[in-house]
Amino acid sequence: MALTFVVCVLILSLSFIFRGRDLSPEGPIRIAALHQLSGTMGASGRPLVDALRVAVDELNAAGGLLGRQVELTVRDATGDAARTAQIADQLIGGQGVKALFACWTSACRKAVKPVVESRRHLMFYPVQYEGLEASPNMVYLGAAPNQQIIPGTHWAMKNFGKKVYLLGSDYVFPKTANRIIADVVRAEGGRIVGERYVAFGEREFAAIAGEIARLKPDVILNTINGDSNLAFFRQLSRAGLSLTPVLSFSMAEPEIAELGADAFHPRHYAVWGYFESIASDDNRRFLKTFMARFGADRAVSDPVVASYLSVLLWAEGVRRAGSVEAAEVNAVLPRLTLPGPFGVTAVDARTRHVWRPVGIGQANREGRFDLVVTPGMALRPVPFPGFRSREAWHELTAQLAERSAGPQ
Amino acid sequence: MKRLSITSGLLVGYLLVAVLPLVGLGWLSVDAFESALTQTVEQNIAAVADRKTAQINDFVDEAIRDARILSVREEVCEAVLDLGAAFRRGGLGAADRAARRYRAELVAFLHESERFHDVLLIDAGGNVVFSIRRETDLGANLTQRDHRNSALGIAYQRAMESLSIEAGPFLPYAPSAYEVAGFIVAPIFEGGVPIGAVAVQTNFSALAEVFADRVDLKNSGRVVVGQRGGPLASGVSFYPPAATAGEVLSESLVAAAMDKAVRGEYGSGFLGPDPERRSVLAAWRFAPAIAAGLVVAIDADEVLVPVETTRRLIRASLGGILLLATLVAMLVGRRILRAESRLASREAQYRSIFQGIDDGVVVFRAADDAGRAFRIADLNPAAERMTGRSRQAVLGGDATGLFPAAERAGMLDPLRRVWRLERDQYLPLLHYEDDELSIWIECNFHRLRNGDVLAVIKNVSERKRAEDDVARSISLLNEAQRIANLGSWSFDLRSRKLEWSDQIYRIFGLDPRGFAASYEGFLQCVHPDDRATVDRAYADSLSRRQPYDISHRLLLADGRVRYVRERCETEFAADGTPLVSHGTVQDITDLREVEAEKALYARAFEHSGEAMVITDPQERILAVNRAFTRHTGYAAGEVLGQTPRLLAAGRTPRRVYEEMWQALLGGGFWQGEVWDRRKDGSVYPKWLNISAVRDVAGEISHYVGSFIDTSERKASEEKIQFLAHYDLLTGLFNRSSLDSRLDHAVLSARRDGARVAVMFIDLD
Repeated sequence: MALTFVVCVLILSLSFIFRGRDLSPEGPIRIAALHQLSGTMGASGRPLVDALRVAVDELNAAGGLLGRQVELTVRDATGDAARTAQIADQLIGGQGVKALFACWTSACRKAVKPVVESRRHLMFYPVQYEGLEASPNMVYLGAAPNQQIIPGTHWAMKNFGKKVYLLGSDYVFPKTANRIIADVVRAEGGRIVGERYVAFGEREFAAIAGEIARLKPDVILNTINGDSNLAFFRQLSRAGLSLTPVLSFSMAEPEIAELGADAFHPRHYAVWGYFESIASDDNRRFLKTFMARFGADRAVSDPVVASYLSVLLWAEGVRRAGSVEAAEVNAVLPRLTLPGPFGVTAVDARTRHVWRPVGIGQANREGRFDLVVTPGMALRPVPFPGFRSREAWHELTAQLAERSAGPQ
Repeated sequence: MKRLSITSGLLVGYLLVAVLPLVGLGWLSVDAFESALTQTVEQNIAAVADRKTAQINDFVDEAIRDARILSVREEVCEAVLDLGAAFRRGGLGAADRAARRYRAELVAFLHESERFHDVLLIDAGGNVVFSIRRETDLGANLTQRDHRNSALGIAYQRAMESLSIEAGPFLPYAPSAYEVAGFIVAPIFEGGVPIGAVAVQTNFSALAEVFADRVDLKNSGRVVVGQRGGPLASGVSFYPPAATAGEVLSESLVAAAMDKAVRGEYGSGFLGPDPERRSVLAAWRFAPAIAAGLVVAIDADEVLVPVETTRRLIRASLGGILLLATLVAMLVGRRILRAESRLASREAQYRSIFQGIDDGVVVFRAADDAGRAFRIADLNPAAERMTGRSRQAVLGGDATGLFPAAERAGMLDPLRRVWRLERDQYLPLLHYEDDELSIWIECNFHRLRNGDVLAVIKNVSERKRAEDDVARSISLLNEAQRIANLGSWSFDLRSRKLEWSDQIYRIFGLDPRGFAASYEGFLQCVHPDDRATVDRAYADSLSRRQPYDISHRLLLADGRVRYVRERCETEFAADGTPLVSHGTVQDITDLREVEAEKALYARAFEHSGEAMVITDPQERILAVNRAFTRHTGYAAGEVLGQTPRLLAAGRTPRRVYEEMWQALLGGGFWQGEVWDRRKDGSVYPKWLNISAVRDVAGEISHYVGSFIDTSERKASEEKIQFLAHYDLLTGLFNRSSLDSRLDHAVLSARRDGARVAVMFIDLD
């Protein structure tokens, strides 16, 4: 009799324990980070991977997804487009990762995107970019032009003047961005006094500094990516150009922190949807987690937060779809919204970009930004700015691709 | 574990076997149904929320498309330039006049799109130069402080800063009587340079109509749109306000759902209960197009009505099944209880038998796997009495605690055998002896189903003694029968079983081992000449119900003939049926011979020529023979009981009688001549012989007298005397007289020393 009792209790308790649980977990869900971890873009790429790790650890600490743990595979994207595409293909095809969290530079993204599309897979891109793109297999968490470049340019010209100097790295993003900026400058009745491109990793900015000193632009719109910025700002400081405002589009808190004291520029501004200094409960909570892991002086930025949010967004998609397969997650992603450090992250169904607010920060000596314009109501993402037709934009990108067919 | 009583055991068993699984299954099925239903209703409400969100997005998207279409129309470009120029020239009045050209077309557009409240044109300087409705915003400058933060102003700035079509927030709009309104502003370009903007105004009420349908919302369902933190309000404001909605829904829970929605959460689920114990099922979405949260909420009780119904149904059927199960269980339980109580009473009965039985009962339990040694598992008072050992002292101990000499007495081996072979064994008689005990026992070993061995031990010492006594009695009886030459038998007429005592076999000259007694066998032993007589005598005795007593002959196997006397009595049942005959057979062969001898003597006595008379010690005549009657003339009947003095003639001298008694009392025999008188009175001499017959003790038991009439012999004697001694012719002494006289004279002379002279004279 005693046995019967024990068996009954056992069955009941088991049925309680396993109620509504998947009894056949299939091992961890694998996702992959594909970022440049070394070289000139390493300082930008590594924090993105750290953010992914934080998000994955949070997921796993909360019990994983669909009863499974999430495993993050990290690969170095290197600077070589073909090689990066190969790695992406190998991750998707060979290792069977369920989602890619990849790329800082547009060059990288443009290399990986065809792979992701041909595999009908899923990729999250966390960085602001030049727009002019949409893909059924991508989710863009960075700012579209109307969420960064255009309002940033507008703000710069409105506040500093209409003589604009354009400086960027010699690759697709700065060149495309500058075409958009040129449109905006023209629309605002401004004038581009100079436009220069430097190679990735360029250290020599004396000539450019000289040109700036000569041209005396009201504002420099900076689209340099990577550690060339250090040399540039150092040169600006050295050349006594500290009073010339600079608005950077590819520099967030980590990049600012890299500059250090000798490259500090007192009139250095950046346009982002997120700044570490935003005061909101969600942001404070996020910062606490992040700092607890990486230390209080570790800089958090818009792309870092976007990288972090991309995992949470993917996870929400998996939960909503009840599946880890890219096709099914893709189907639910366009409707999703997510609370986060910069308020609501909402995916726009048509463009698969997210709604983002726009803010302006001024770099301070601590390597952080003081808010000049607080990010407000989110803007609908418009990857193809309305002042040209979509065909015109496609034509432009085709031209630019042709012109920069070299290795990138 | 504590031992439960049978009732509570059954109760617990019933609970475990019937109630617990039933309740558990019922609970599980309700739970499964509930989770399936909640999942479904949750999916439903999520679908409603998705639909509503999509409707809002579509609405805004369409508005944007319309605005874009307007913004790229040449007439609109023209109008903006024209009106802007007019405004710069002559203010609002000039612009208004200039607008007449365009009004009709724009009104047509407005009428095409019913969702728009107004269409406005803004020139490059931010002046509202055209409005179809001509509300107070016409003529306003949107870059100025008064209008910068209005719904239109905000939308305008966003559009111009990003140079793209932008929607602004929904806010109460003063020029439209504070109706909540939102604007979509599309910049108008000419040659890449913005020359103004077109704005379309949408009142929230129009938007609300889009998602106003109540499909899937049941009675209590409610769709709420809310905002936080915007210029509109601090906290969350709803549209529509609570008062217009049903009162069932918990305001606080809807607010909680809205909190999630405006934070950007995308989800659904049950919330509550609130302090009034109401719960809601809600789905929350964030609609970025209007920067607002959307909550679809429905009263949880209403959607869960099927659960409640199912729960009631299952509870009722569960109750029914339980009732049925309880009834069945009660029936079964009662049967079990009854069987159990019967068992218990039987056990009590057996226990009391066990306790009260005179035989010792001991339960042995094997102490090891091999069944070599045994422990005492139980024993009854009789066993205690028999062995003189107390239960407490031996219970649980080794078997030798109770029977120290069990091994020697041969008790353990059968015990082991019984244990091993699981076969009962009976030990008829066993002498058990130890230091304190010496008894005869009878053992019955029985292997119980649980492996114990039950031993029933009977103390048969008394019986043994009695049996010994009986055996001795039987042997004595046999001995007596042998000596008496008397055998006994009994014949059961029902079973026709005949039993003979040993002596009968001896009398019949049969060997008991080789002959089975039977009536027919008996008849075979009877002399052929007597067989019919014997058979008939027995049959008659049975039919007349009279004992019988016959003597007959036996013809033995060796040809000898024996005489037996048989007596028989038969017991009869009340109805006269003969049951058992008991009888004796006495060998009277010897007696027969004695009787024959006696008869011979009697005949000799009767027919003797001498008259004979027998008296008792008191001289009373017991018997006389025929010669007596002939001699004396007295018949036997006349003299019996008389004394022989009756015969006396009185002539015999007294001296003779005295001599006679002297001789009789002394030597026991006397003979002499007496004179008696006959019946006819004549006196005669007779020669009388009398013997005194003595018994074993030497006492005189009889006198036997015999006599002969000596009157003739006396005469003959005298004549013979004379003839012997005298010469018949002369009458003188003859030679024999001479010889005897001479011898006599010689002897006398030799004794006296004298001389004898003989003188011979010849007579011739």
